Amino acid sequence: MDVRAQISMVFHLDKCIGCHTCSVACKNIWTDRKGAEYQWWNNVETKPGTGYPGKWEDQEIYKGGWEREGAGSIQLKGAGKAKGLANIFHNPHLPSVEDYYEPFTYNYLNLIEAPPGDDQPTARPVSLITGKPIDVKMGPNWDDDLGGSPDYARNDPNLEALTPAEREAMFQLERMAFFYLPRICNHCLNPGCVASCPSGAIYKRGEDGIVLINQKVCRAWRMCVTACPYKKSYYNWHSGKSEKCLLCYPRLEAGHAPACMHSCVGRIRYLGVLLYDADRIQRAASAPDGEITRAHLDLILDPFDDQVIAAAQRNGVPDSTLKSAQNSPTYKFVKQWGMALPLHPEFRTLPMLFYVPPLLPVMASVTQTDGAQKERLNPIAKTWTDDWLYDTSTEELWGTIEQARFPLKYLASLFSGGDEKAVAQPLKKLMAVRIYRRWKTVGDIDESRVDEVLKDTGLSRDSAEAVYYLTALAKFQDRFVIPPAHREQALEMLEFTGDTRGSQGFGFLERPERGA
Amino acid sequence: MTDGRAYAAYTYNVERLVPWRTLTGRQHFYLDHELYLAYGEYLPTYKPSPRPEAYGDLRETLKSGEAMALNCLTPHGKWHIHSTYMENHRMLTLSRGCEPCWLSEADAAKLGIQDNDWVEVYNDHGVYCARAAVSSRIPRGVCIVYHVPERTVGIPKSQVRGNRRAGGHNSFTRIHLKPNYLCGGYGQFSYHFNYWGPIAPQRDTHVIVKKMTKVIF
Amino acid sequence: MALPYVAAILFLVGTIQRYRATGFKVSSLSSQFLEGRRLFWASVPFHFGILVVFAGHLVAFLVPSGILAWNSNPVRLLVLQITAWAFGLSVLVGLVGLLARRLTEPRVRMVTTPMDLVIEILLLVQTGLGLYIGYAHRWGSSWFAADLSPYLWSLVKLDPQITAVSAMPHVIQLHIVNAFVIFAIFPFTRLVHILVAPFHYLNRPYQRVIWNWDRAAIRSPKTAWSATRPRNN
Repeated sequence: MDVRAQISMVFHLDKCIGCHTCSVACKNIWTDRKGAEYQWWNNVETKPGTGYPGKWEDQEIYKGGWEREGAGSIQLKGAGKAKGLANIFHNPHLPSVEDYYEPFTYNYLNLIEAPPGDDQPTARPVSLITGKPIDVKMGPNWDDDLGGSPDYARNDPNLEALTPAEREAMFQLERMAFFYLPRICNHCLNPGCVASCPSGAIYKRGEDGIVLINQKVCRAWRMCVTACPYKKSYYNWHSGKSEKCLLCYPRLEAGHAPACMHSCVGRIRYLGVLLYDADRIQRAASAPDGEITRAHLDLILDPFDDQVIAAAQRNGVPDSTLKSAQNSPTYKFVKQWGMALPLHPEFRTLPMLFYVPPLLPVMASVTQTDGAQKERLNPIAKTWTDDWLYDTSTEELWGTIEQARFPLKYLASLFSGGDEKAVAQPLKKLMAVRIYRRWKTVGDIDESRVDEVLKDTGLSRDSAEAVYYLTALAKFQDRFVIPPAHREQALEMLEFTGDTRGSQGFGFLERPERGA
Repeated sequence: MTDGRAYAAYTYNVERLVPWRTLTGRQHFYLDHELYLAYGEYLPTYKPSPRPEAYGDLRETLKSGEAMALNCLTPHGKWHIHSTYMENHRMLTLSRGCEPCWLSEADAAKLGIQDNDWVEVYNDHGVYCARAAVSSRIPRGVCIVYHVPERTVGIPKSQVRGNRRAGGHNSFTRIHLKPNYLCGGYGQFSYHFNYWGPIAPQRDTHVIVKKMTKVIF
Repeated sequence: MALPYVAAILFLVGTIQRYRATGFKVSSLSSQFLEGRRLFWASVPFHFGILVVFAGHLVAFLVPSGILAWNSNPVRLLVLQITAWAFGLSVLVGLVGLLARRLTEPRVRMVTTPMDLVIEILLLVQTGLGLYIGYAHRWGSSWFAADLSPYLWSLVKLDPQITAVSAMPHVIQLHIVNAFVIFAIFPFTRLVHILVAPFHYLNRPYQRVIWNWDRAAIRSPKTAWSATRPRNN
């Protein structure tokens, strides 16, 4: 048992309101630079939708992640030693700027410098790459709130698991629903980007599991962009280096939360330590298709287990890290309560960020009325074509998960590699906690019913209360539990400062600019 | 933000028991003003919006023989609430580079409009130019404009208005006063010009949406 | 002629200095992200072509006797010449494509430095000369091995024998001079990415985990605090 620690994040999707404050915070801190304008290390997508870059989940296009080849063996789908070196002069699977979007600004100067004319001037959109006027055709959040649903939402790769009728139902006004999916780098245990980098510039930090690109070693072979199935490694066209989310490690080391988490309005994010068994990574990553989610979650160890603690200590995991692991909100959601799942585990990179799947849209049903409403209202009001009645009666409110507006198959395609049982479990728990709280606060539900649903889902009243607390009331200290980075050691976690004495501390003696 | 708590409206009234600024000093749904009683609106009441003819927003426009009036709503968008402002560079990048006009899939198909086409939205009062956002979440017969865009930012000239730059904030909406908005001097009721601004009777109007014939900046 | 030595010194000192001072900028500076389709039809023929052509020159320089022995059979000579010329043509096609793309794609122009154009034009001239020589002055593989390799070796031995070269046609002399010019400015161009070609990728494990300090040692009371610390990169 090789026990290591990983700083991990949980996203509670029921709480995400899609405000993009995280994206803006991240952008302002990290990617407000030439060459990085198009990069959104943190972005929020509307689901169903094709996301950013367009259809990133479709690995038939982008060839990201790993493929299983027979028992216990996996290969990178679009990169790796043979494929990577053969395609080094031209990588056929590299997304181009059009797959993301051409970054743009506006020619604001024209508003004050336009020559006299017969009409008011306007600031046209111009490309941030060429400076020439462009027609804005794509953005980092183009399909927001189902915008352009005929072209985007209806082409969501996750809809492939559904029958045409089920798909159509998802876009019927009376039945449709959507949710938001915030995404950052998953800081995987079996990262495709690290494996694909010919230069060896990308590495995972042992102490906290953060995956980073060494900017000095990166030589722009661009294989990481292909190999990352989440498309979270970005090529900076100006500096000629790839860049990615660094989980705000300079902030973490100083005891601050990552910018995306700190700015989160809905407080949907939880950050904490998970202990995992590095010896079993390869076995988990190459598990058979149906078992990948289970194998992945099995890697995460119980921080209260004596054997685990002993092994961790042998491995040099500091006590403060162990203590954080025991208080970790992510451990509670992922393992203790079993309510959070990895995004697209079937890509086999073992992503270490987890999502509590969204339940909310299940909570009302729509039934067709007899048309009496129409007859009554038409003479006095605008033409009334609404034959539907929105029903939130208690009986329907606690309907079964299987009738949810998001078909289970759809959520399973996102969060469990198609395993419907694995995704139904957290949803049932979310529902059980709601039923328990309803009984407690409103009281229109039988106590026996409450005990029944709690028993069904394996929660106790105490744990239901704890889930409620961490979901609805949790303070910042409850949501953000990380060990001190040991500043005395954190210095070493950055760089040996001796070799850059007189420089700016991060080892840059030169401006990080494009070379000749 | 103090003590890990974000600011929320009415905290003083709830926590420090400062009386609410109403006639009774309490929160109340029931409005016992004569005018509200007379109109049957003493409690929150649903009233269907009048037929488009009653508004008279399209009298002149319809004479040109254009078909298909849409009910245009201008609700709060998720990025347009009070202190947030979506027409800065960051927010425009995160949306569609402009303030689009949301159309339903069915209406867009009928009008021959594709997602991201330039459209003109107009009625008797005004016009504005925008791109179309075609979406399944918009009901048929409705188009949604969260905010009328600044015509200074990336907006082409209006062909409906003879190749002139047209449109601006609220150019095609107007205030429809209901009599009970005029009552004042009674507790929390008071009448000011534009005081009853962004509410349904003003934000519910009818427009014609048309694909822009030529895009000239 | 001092040019070869100037070139060699510039190449060596320049490369070392370049890497020491501006190592960050050593990158292949790919522009595929901005434009990919045309790049495929230019970059691939160029790179594979120049790999073969350069390897050919290198072999003729290192083992001239081997080349001469191979060429003793006219059929083999013909095969070698045609192969080399075909790859040379591939370089030319690729280079013309690259240059055209660089000049006509607005986005690629934005990441073009003057040096990119200089080196591309020099390479284009070099390739053009090489192809012309291959066509007009037949059986280059033989006379290169017989006459030029001794000249190059004499340079290496710091005892330049230029008689053989001065007797050669001007095109060939130009080709040689241009080659040294390219070597001389090599460190100051994007060509430096050749030196960081990632062959070590082949024999490293796929995953890389870096520990910033020795976790077990740092917790052990027996570990003395040392003045030298591990560097992470």
